[in-house]
Amino acid sequence: MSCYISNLPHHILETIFSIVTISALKSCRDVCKSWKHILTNPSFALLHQHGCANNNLILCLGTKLTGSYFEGNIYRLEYGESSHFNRARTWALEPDFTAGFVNSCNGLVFMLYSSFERIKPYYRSFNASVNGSFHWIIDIDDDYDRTNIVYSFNFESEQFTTSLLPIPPVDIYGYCYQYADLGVLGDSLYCSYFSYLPWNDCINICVMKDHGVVESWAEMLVIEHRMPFWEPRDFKVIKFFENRNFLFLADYHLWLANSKNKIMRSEDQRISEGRKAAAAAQQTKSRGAQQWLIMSRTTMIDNNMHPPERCACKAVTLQQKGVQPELLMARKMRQITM
Amino acid sequence: MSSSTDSPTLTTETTQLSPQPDTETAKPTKKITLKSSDNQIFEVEESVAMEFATVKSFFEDSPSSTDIVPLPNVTAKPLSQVIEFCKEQIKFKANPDEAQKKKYNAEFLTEKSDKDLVDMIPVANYLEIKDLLDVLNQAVADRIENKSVEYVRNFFGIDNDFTAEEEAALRREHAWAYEGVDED
Repeated sequence: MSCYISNLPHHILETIFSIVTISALKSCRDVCKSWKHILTNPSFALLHQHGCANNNLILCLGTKLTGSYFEGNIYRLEYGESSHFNRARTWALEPDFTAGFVNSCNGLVFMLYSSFERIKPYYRSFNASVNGSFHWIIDIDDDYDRTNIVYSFNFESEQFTTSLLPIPPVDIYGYCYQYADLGVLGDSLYCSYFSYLPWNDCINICVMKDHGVVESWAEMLVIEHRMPFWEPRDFKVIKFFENRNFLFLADYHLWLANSKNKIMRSEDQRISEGRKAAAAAQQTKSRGAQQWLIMSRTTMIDNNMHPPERCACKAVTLQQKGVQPELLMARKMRQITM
Repeated sequence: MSSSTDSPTLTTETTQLSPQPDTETAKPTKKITLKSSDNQIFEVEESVAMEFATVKSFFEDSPSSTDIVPLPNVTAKPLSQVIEFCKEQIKFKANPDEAQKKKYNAEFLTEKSDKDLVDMIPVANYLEIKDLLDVLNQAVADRIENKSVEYVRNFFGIDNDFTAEEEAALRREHAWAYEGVDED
């Protein structure tokens, strides 16, 4: 008997497909023509994204940056009662690139490409995609005079704009010693400051309540990290969870801050010394996102992108004009995973 | 709906109506008769049958009906399993115990063969039993995790309608998808 699952209405099949992981979808896609048709339809890609649970997290950590290879490891954070990290798999990009992993957004992986060894500005927070715009901030790597400008690029209007970060916490002498990071929480942009002086060892998280309105920055939470850093090598909030716990990267380690003001360090995710640590997260379903990252095409971004126009333009060439990031994601899903 | 607080009366009457041996509680419950597509008759308590949205609406449309409810899209085996599942769910409804329910659902699923699971999905869909459908969908999703194309095809009993050339092209195109799957 030819089984009658093939006679099921599409919506049932789609429901099943929406909860299976991408690794299983890869197999499902090639099962038969009608399944291939369902699974390669862009509308399905959206469904899969929305069906994703929020509890698990995939991380991609760049661990090795050699002359010709960029290698990364993909980790899965099992987030729950006993949070722990699992290494999911290692991946490598094509040879001939000297590239640094910057971040990822909607299935795109952003790479920093450099042809010369020289001091580079840091580019962060490319994943801060709100209201159809990407946002990022730039740190100059040499002094305490950190910039407080947020650059953004709107995909629809193809306009660049700048805005300001909230006023950072300053120490008693009026200096600020912290790293800033941008991200998205709900529909809002947030900024996190990681202060690392012994008398000011907090992480401050501010949310921009009205998008684009500098005056609407409001402090959302402060957590004391009390970490023995004099100066962490890097800081990036990877992901917020619903209960305001959050995961962040600092000083080559992953940390999980929970609402009880406690911070947990990942045990074995120490990132090779001397390499710029970078991490990215996809908040899709557990096990699902790892394939996203593997399958994502890389956007090579030129080293000299200090004028923000260049870097964003590079990113945009990969996409088509006027495409909302969500649609873009759908297209990437089709092109890459299907 | 169910005969909730009626005093337990005449045991004989009810046992006579019901072929199931487990009706020691002996409440005069109304039975509903379902007929599968392969002409098997199932007598279920009304409360169980009302878990099937399709059956429920049948009686809402014709409340006085005493007919046998025909289920033309449903064969006996998956139907009996679905009935078994719904009976338990009713107990949990009366007496909520999430842990126990989870445990039961997990056991219910693990003891089913792949084919049983897959065959129950259309039944749950046709009868509109949302809870069961959710449970089944997840179980199926779990079972095809990290499996090869062949495995998934067999799992669902689907014929490969790609030509050899098309299949070869797929394999070339998605070479990486064929790596790292489980052996079986």
